[in-house]
Amino acid sequence: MEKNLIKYDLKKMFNILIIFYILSIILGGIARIFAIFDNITFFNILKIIFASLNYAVWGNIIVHTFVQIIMRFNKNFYGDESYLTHTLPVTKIQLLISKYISSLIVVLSSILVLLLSVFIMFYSKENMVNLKAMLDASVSGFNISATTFVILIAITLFTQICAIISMSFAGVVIGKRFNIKKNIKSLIFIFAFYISSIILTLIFAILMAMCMGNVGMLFSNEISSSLLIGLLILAIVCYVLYAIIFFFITKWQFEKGVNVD
Amino acid sequence: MTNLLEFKNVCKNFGEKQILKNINLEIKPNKIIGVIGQNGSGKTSMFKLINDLFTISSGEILFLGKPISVESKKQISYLPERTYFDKNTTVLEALKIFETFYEDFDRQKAERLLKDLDLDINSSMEKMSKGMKEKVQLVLVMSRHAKLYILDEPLGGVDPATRDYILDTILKNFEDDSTLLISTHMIADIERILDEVIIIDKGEILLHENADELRQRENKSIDEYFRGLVYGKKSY
Repeated sequence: MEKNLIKYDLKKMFNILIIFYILSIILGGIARIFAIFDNITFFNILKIIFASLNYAVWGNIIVHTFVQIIMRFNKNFYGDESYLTHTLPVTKIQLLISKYISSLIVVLSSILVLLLSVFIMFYSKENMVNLKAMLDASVSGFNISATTFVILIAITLFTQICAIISMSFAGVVIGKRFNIKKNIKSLIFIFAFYISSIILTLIFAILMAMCMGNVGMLFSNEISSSLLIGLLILAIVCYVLYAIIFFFITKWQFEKGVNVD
Repeated sequence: MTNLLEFKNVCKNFGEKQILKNINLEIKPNKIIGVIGQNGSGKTSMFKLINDLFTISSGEILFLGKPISVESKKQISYLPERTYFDKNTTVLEALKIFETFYEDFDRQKAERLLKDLDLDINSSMEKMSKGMKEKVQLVLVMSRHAKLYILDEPLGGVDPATRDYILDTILKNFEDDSTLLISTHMIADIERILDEVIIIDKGEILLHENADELRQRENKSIDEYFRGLVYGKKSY
């Protein structure tokens, strides 16, 4: 049943996102073609125009991915569509898990499309060498390879996205338990959860730096490699924990039942 | 006879506001029951509670002796007063959704009914009027082999000419051993088909009685009786 729920969700979410995906690939391709002739002023201007348009589309993909995920959750569980959702012969946990899985698929798809668009627009041996040199330079002071650093950053960002989605779902479900101004309250809860998570992560970071005996480094430009790796791992652990905790909060509240307007 | 559906001291509150007050109700199988009440009387709230769209404040609702669950959802076919399909959904996609999720869905029956009602299977909901969308949902709901059909204002958005056709569709297509709970403002239109009537006002059940017995006892139509009871008017 989850498979069908996921399929239905993805279809709805990709309905809009697919336009941006295609647009981003096409604009990236066009900008790349014009880049071949960028020694000619006219083509260089065109390259800049199409590349700028593509940056705007990237922004749209990022914003729309989050908006679609939260709107879909809200519409499917609390909007008109919920009259179908909650009467389907599936459990609340099946509904919830399908929503988490479809959201993750959408996030991963958007990341892949963004990477593909970047690749189309910028890939060349020369650019790769430059990028590697830049990364090597930025991690030169630390006892860490550029690849490990990129992987850690990517995992941190991904777990943060998962945590934000989990917090958003919890915010929506808790906000909807009120009798009035449900949407505003949902937004307030999402914002409160996000701010609290940042503050909590910062407190953990300070505590960790204190334990390692180098708090001062946190607020300076000279940070040790062990502290940098420690901070990234701490962030990953925190975001994974937030994602799990907020999943259980959402599950607990959602299983109490809904009151659909 | 075992109750198909049972409300035991069911209350529904929103903060201080009491929507349903201590509802006790027993619904037997194989009946057509009209749920009658003014706007905001609690009809839809009652239906939402049965369908897990509202949480109960106190009391319990039992379907075939068990609380509302996935098993009950498999046997209850509900038509809400709203259209729940996304505007981009086509009738064909809606059919597929019902076919996928409801084991008791009869696709052939649905296609036949859609054809009878002149509804194009390839049309999207966006291009349909409210009445047409309601007809599609009614067809989908009535094409299930359910134990309990709950229809909330099924005649609301349709023209008078179609009303009788829809009522006939409902009557012809609901299973013999099933029960039909139907709410409407258009009492005169449905009273001919009712076995029982439930009158609800301000969240309380004022009456639950056999329709024929009520008509005989009061010597007036259910419509007249309802107006007299709720509005305090004697004759029309």
